Amino acid sequence: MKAAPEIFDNSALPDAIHADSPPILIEFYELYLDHTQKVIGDMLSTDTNTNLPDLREQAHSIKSSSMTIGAQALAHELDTLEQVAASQDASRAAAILNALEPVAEQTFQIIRVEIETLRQSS
Amino acid sequence: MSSQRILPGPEAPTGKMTPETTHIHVLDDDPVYTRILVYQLRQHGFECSSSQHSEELMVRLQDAPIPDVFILDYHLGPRQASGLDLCRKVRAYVNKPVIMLSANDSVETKVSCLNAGADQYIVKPCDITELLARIGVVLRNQRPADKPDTTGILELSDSLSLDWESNLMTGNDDQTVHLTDKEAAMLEVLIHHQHTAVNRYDAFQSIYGFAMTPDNRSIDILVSRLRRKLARVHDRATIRTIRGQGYRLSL
Repeated sequence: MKAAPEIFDNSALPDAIHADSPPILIEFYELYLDHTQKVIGDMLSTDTNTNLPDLREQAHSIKSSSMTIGAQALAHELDTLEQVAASQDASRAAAILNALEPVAEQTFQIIRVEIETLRQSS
Repeated sequence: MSSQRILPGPEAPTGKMTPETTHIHVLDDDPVYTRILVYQLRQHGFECSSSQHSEELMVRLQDAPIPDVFILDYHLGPRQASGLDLCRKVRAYVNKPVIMLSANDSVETKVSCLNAGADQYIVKPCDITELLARIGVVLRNQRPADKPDTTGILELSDSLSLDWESNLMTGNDDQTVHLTDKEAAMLEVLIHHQHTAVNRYDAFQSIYGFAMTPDNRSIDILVSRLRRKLARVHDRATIRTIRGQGYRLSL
């Protein structure tokens, strides 16, 4: 059985950009939080019975940055949601959306802590 | 800690343009991913610009200087032109290398991109070293530009042109005819393959983004409509059927 992806891998972004300077990492994390919280908020208010295409687009649009930033579990949920929305399965999409909410919240919280840790180290 | 902005914004100047500098334009609807990519490319010495909407790119293409390489996201969402449409336009109008980015690694998507004129295809999120290698390949393979670095109007011949914003084709004696988006796309495909025939399957995939079934006549219908419109404004330009191969633009 495949292990569940970890919530947040704090080595992903430094590895991707080949930099570990706290100010740079903080700015990317803040940018990610700003944008992704907004998109997830929109997604959670989407009616899965009438708006699966929008949900699919929204999930797709933040998937790559989630992966790059190290938000692995959220990226995984977004990928699943994108596929289910594409298959027009509204009830499964609603269930995945419900499961996604706590993962997103947990991810954002860990990133906020990571930002604070980076601030203290710089 | 200071809240001073340390990352260059998407359009921040990155130093003077030198012959050694390659200007890369990144188009992706995910602002975070775009910023990361731009940061990585600038760290490797490239001059970079970016946009999140296809309209921004279209405007940019009408202003010199035209970037040397385009990195375009395949999937830009339903409310703007697709990455595939933009890839065709960039190849037809400014003849610069295109690297397509997509989170989707299906063969169908890759083939669609290559048929639309993309030089390279890379699955995102991508490792920067792989992307750099692909940029190196497209720069090495770049043919000398045979079109001027000014755009907005595609000059097909001395007396035939297409305005890419309005899709207005102008022919002899300034006669004009309006093309639909798909007709303009078909013309762009024919221009990109100007010296060879384009087969119907490749043309279809580069316009619609998925494989054509044998009974689908969309391309034949598009070509037939384009022929009629070409004939209305020009006395020589036409689309020839090359038996067993496909269609070819004859100017």
